[in-house]
Amino acid sequence: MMASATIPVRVAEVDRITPLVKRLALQPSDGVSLPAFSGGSHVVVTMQRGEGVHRNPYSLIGPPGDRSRYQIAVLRVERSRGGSVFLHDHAGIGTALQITPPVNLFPLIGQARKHVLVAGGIGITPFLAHLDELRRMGARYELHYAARDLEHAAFADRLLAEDPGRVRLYPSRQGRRIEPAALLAHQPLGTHVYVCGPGPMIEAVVAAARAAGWPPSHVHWERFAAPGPGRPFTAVLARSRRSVLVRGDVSLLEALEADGLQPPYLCRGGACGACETAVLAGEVEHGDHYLSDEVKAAHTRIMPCVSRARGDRIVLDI
Amino acid sequence: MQGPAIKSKPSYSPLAPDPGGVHHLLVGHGCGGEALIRLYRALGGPRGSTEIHYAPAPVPAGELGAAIAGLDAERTEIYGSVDDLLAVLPGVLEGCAMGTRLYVAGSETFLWRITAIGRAFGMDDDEIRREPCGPAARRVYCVHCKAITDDVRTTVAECAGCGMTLLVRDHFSRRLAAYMGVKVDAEVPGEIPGPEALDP
Repeated sequence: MMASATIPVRVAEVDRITPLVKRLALQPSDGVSLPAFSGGSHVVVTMQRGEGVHRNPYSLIGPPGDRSRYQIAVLRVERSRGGSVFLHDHAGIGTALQITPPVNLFPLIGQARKHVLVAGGIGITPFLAHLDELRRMGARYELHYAARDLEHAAFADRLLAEDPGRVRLYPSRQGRRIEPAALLAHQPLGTHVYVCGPGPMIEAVVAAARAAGWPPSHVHWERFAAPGPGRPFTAVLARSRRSVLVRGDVSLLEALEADGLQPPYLCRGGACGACETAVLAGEVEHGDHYLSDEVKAAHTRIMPCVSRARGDRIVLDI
Repeated sequence: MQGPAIKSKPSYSPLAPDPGGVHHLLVGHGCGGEALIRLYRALGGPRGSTEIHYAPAPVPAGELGAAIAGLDAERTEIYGSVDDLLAVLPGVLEGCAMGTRLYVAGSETFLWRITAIGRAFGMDDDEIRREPCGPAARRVYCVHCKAITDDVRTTVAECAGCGMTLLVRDHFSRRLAAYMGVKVDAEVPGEIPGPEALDP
């Protein structure tokens, strides 16, 4: 499997939503319409920056019917590998980018009788398109949105204005917190819960759902684990008999791409499993939430998008 | 006659408690009462609550009904007929919250009629368990006239709608709670095999 063909786009609009979040509208460079997508979809944005290439996943936040442009919201993450900072500081009207076709790893469940959406911080983004879809379907839903404060709660003004009865905001600086157990205790049969936000929030909602007797089939979450920087190491590619040096500030997947390989990927966040690769030797510092604990402990598979070698060297079956 | 196993034919196992649930809803009729009593005892004071909805018919004199009424579930309802139970169940489910598990025991037709009501409330297979009892009687859907023939016990049977002689196949529709019936001599007119008792 090869990486998907990308679509050339240009930045058509930029505006600041909060002190740390910018909204970008992307239009196809060739003027043709973009692929259709469903609520919860993301694209991977490729940024050329001198010699370096950044690829980051972003949820599509515009209405799913709009094929003339895609909209994304970018949180500026200071201590990261630089993709979000590049989009904040260097992307303006006209900047050329490449995006993958949309992929949806976080769709709404059509059979649900009610949808409970739980967002934390920038985790609001997939829900913006979900909300559009839910309103169009006339579905029953509620949104619980936790953020640092009102100033940092991206799109909160709009959400509250559009739907005051069904949107609840929890500014943590005012001591307001989402309480998953209370939230999930008396939901009607056929309710599905969706959560996107920081890891501890996802874990708390998943645990509360289990404790309240919800089957896993009714609990959905999305988390793009941004690959953190780590120690440099060497990846030996056994089949092609070469080795690639992985610097501390790039991911294994990025290093392979920089070396001219085209490994498959979809989410670049350790969630989807597309880039799973067999490990022949060496231990893995796992950063994904795709592989099972048993497989992780065996050190026989790695997700190159977020995981690294634990030691100086790892041998891959590619 | 039917060749290899048909995937849509449901397979069942005895009802067992789902420890993941916090509210256990036991629904049965007739001989299914035995499975409900066994399940209730196996639940043996699990976390959460239990309620039982049971229609004794066609068990004579409702002996199982008396035994079930004697269990100390949080709520027990005994109905005069399956239709009464079917009429009440949607209101019961409306009052249930996520965390409920539905256990169904009775004839195969009953299992899937109750399942269809559960599905209409958004319950999926992770939340519904089923155990059949009684004779291997099938509800048959005629693919020609779309009529339903109840209580079919042989592999070849007459359609209650159009009167055609049908071969009762193992193809099962969960939505219709019925097996597929097709014209038995469609390929070679007049060649009608003798009816055999259906497998459970």
